[in-house]
Amino acid sequence: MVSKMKLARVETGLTQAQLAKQVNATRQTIGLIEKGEYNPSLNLCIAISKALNKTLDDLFWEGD
Amino acid sequence: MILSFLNVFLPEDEYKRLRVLYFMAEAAFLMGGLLMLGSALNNYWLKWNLDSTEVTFILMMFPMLMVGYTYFRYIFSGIEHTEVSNKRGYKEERRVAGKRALLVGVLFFIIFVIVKGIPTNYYERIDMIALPIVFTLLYFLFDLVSLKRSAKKNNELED
Repeated sequence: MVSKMKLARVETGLTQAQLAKQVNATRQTIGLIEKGEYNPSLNLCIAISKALNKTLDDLFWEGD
Repeated sequence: MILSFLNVFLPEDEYKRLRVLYFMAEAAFLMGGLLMLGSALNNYWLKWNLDSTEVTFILMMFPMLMVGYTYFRYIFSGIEHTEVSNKRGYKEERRVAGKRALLVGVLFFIIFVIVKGIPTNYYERIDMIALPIVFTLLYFLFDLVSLKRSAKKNNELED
């Protein structure tokens, strides 16, 4: 399953490395979050949401 | 970020920080177990009668083991080189690793000379040359293993 975060990132036209740089993380960490292998802290979630112009619900809520 | 003196030893990226923290905690837990096992063995079976030099050696071994355990877990987890995933990046990092190993080897040699002094016989001269070379090769080998594991992990996570 492609994660909402990955879809949003591709939509925004950012690479994993570019997003990682914007949120002060590493490309590996972004890859792990997109694959669902790492649960980021709330601070990192917020930073990612801001970088991708989305809300936390848009990216990380699994309801719909 | 949680305030702790450990922050000095931890990476900035939160995933790496968490993993390294786990490695350190595992090392501390295992060392605690080893110490308990050692004291139980000493109390009920072996009855070691150690002099102060041997006690110092054993006590010094524990922090070394802790650092070693954390270092090897870090290397084999593939989290050191977080940006390397393609062949070009891999080759570039390998070149950098080679230079770093050489630099570390030279530093090791200088410290060795300062601590041991100028060699006076054949065996000391062999030691002075062989030890830094072995140290440099091992350093490079571990760096290479770390690089390979990192590249493999990053490849699996790529866009």
